[in-house]
Order: sequence, then structure tokens, then C-alpha cells
Amino acid sequence: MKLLLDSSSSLLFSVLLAQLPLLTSALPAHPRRHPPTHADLDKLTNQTRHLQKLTHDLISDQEFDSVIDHHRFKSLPAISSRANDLSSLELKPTLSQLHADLKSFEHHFEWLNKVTRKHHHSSAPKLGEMISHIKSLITSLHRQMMRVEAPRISVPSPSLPPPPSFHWEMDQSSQELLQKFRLFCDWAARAFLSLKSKMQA
Amino acid sequence: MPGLVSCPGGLIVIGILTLFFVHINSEIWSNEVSDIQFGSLGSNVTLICGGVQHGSLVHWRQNGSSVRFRQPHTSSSTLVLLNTTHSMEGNYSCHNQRGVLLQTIRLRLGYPPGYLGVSCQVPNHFKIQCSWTQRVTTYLPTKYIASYSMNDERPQPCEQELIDVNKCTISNPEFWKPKYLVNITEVNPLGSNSTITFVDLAKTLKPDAPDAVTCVEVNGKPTQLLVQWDLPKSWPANPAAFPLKFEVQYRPVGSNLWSKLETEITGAMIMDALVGHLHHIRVRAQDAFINHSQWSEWSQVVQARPWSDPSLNTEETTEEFYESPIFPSTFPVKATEKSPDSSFDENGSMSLLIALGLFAAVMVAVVSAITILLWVRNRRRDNVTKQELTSMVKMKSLPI
Repeated sequence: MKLLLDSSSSLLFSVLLAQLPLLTSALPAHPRRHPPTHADLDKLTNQTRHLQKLTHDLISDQEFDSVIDHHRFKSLPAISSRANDLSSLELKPTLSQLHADLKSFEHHFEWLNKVTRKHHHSSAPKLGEMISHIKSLITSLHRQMMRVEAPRISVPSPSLPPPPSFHWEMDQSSQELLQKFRLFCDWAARAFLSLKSKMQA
Repeated sequence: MPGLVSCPGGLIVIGILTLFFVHINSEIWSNEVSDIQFGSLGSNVTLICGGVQHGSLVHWRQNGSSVRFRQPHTSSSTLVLLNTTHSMEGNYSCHNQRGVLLQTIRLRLGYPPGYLGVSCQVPNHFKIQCSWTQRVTTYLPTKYIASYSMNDERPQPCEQELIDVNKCTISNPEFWKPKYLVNITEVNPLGSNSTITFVDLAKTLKPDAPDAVTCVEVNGKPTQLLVQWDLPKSWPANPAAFPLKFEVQYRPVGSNLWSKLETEITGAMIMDALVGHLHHIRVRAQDAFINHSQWSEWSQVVQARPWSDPSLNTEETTEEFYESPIFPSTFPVKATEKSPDSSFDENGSMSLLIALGLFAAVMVAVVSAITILLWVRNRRRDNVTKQELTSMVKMKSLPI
């Protein structure tokens, strides 16, 4: 009897041991946490610079490159940072903030794209191309956030202006959005470069 | 007393006292001035003699002399200056009937503040410098209040280091804000006026010119030059987040056309330098991310000549010989330490030009020689003919 008990317990133990790899593989997988490489940050920088160039071209294409003296978009991200701040950026909060800001710009550009198509504006195809590049950058950024477990900041739904009735209203909205996005891209590209140089140090 | 005069300290004291009294004598008029009054040029200005009983008659003087200007509306104690001009400025005094001085007024005339010419420079992401000039000279003591605001936020001071230098600095600005307004308010005794200027920081960003540009030959490479430079001194020392792009321009001395290269590092290799020729090289910079920012001014031009084989130094003629056909008007006549002969075979067009030049020279020489020979021959023939004719004449004249 004792022998039987011993043998059954050892059998049970063996069975459990055999099941262990299966059990562990069934648990939800956590991605391995490691910081982005230089190449990852270079890719983010290049994607951002490309977007900056697309934005610049779109601004140049328009009939006027005016001074923004109106604020149609109340919920656009604004960068209050100074050049000095670039040297003290931290990886995780920076990635999270840039991701949230990009999502916000994405929403705003989708709105602009919709009204531009409605007005049959010539910039509509380029806007569409730009939105797809924004989405691509958001995906790359999100991938890096997952790798370092950076928290995702919730983006409040943007407060968008009423659809423009006139062509010039749409031009003004477009200018405001594009000029602010160009500034954002400039900041973001420098932020990625700064993070990269910190990793080197 | 002799002791006092002989003592140098005493002499100094006497000197200072003398100067002091001389100064007092010359400034005695201004010392009596009790008031400064400012007036607008071209307008009517009224001076009031204070401390005078109503109805008392006073006598006005300008700089010690009776007032020359007519003042039809002058009452007993006031002086009205009509349509004022600069000649009416000065020290006015009012006196009672007995000539006793009652009051002095210094009158200064000018214009109220107008709009200013404001310009702002952004040499890097850390600094904005604005300066301003009067568009209309006001002739009056003036002070300026400089401030700036972003996106209609609360104004902040633009720091003026020296109060009498029309310049202010915004340090470490929020560079990525789209709207910067710089407000310079001019204040003088006749009023104030604000000039508000919009500054697009990205568009205005203009680095200083690259520093310490050098250019050297590359050993064994007769068509290469290595150009190197430093970042502008005012650019961030750690430029990781602030990359610059550079344009290098180069041309052989005497040529009007620049060739160019672009790079984002502080050096470049020119691969197509003209063999054996002295080159001019210059560099400028622009922020690498902001395409619509400004290019810097050009750096100082530096000179360099590509490497040439020193073993072939003594074989051929001076460089003037083969350089002159290409850039005949402005080519330098200065001989250099290296002969560019060795490089001839490497430059087909150059060799062709030289060959053509030599051929032309030979042809000219041959043609000249033939011409001279023909001329000499003709001359001889002429002499012979002359001699024959002379002898014939002589023979004719002989008696038969």
C-alpha cells in the first residue's frame, strides 16, 4: 500500500512536471522589456522628418503662407518646451506624450481630409498620403512604447470647428493645422535624436 | 604763499578751483534753469512765467537776449511761440519790470514717438535678439520698453542689457510656439507709441557662419581637396538635437562658376578639383530640419591647391604658361611650390588645350619665318633689278 502511494505520488509529480511547459506557454505572454535600439530611434526620426517635409510641401503648395492669427482648433497639442528641455527628456514619458500628440493630430487631419474632399480641394490626395504616414509613425511609436512598457496616455476627443462654409475658411484651417504640425514634427524629430544621444552616453 | 605755489599739490588745487570757476561762469545760465519744458516741433508752445501776480507785466529773454519771435497772443505772464522750429529751443527767462529774474525755463523741441524699425535675429534655438531704430528722429530723451508674448499669453520682458543700446534678448524661448510678438514701446516726454512685430522663429532662424574653415590637399590625389570647419561659435556645443546642414562651394581662382557640395557633417572631400589649380572654398550652414529657415552668411573664403607630384617639379615651365589659356584675365601670377605638370596626362581637355596652344605657336613661328624669308628674297630681287636698271642707264649715257 505504501509502495502504491509512493508510486502514485511520484507519477503525479512526473505528470505535473511534464505539464509545466504547457502551463507556462498558456499564460499571457509579456513582451521582453528592452529599450529601443539606435536603429529604432533613427527610424522614428526619419519617419518624422519625412512627415515634416510632406507638411512643408503642403504649406508651400497653398496659395498663401500666412501668419496664424486665428485659432480654429482649440484642442491641438501645443509644445511649451524650450531647447534646454531636450537634454533632460526621459524615454518613456516622451514616447507616451509624442504618441498621444500624434493621435490628436491624426484626428484633426482626418477631419481636415473629410472637409477637403467635400470641397474638392486639390490638396486632398496629399493629405490622404500624410495621414497614412502619421498612422505608420503612430504604429512604430506604439511598438517602441510596448517594448519599454511606456504607459499610453488617453487622448481626449478633439474639439473640432464647425465645417467651413467657404473655401478661404478651409484654407485658414488647413494653414493653422499644417503650420502647427510642422512645428510638432520638428520638436518630435529633435526629441528622438536627443533620446538617441542619451542612449549613446 | 611761495610755499603754496611751489608745492605741486597746491598748484593742482589752484588749477581745479580755476577750472571750477570757469565752468561756473560758462554754465551760469543753465544753473539758473529751474524747469524743462518739452514741445512739439511745428506746433504752438506756451511758456508760463510762474510766481507772477496776475496782470503783472514780464519781460522774456531767450538765452540772455530779448525774444526775437513775435507772439501776438502773449499775455502779461505767458509767451506763445508759434509754429516752433529748432531755432526756438534754448533757455528762456522771465523778468519783472525792474529786470529781476523770476523764472527760467529750458525749452526742448521734438516729435512724439513714431513707429520703429524692429528686426529680430535668431542665431540658434536658445536666443532671440531684437534691435530697433527710430524711423523719425524725435530729438528728445527717449526710453524703450521691450516685451514679447506668445499666442496671446501674458507679455514678458525682453531683456535690455544696456539701457542706451536699442537691443534686447529673449533667452531660451519656447521655440516651438507658432506666434511670437515682440513689442517695443517708445516713450518720450511727448507721448508713447508701440511697435509690434511678428517673429516666426523657425523662418528667422539663421546660424552664424561656420568657423575655422580649412582646406588641404590630399596626398597622392591631384583632384581632391579636404575641407573642414567648426560649427558656428553661437551654435549649441552638443549639437545632437540641433543638426546643421552645410553647403560647400568651390571654384578655381578666376572662374565665375561655383561648384557645390552638401553635407551634414563638419567636413567634405572635394573630388573634382581642377588639377594643379588654386581653388577658392567657402562654407555656409542651415538648420538641417527646418527647410524654410535662413542660410548663414558665407564663411571666409579659403584657398587651397590640390596635391601634385613633387618629382615632376623641375621638368616643365611655370604654371602661368598653361593656366593662362583657361582664365586669361584674372589668373594669379604667383608661382607656387608645386608644379602641376604631372597632372597633365590625367586631364584630357587640359592636355588638348595645351597641345593646341603649342601647335598654334609653332604654326605662327613657321608662318612668320616663311614671311620673313619671302620678304628678304623680294628685297634682294628688288636690289638686283635696281642695279641692272642703273647699269643700263649708265650704259645708255656712255658715248658710243
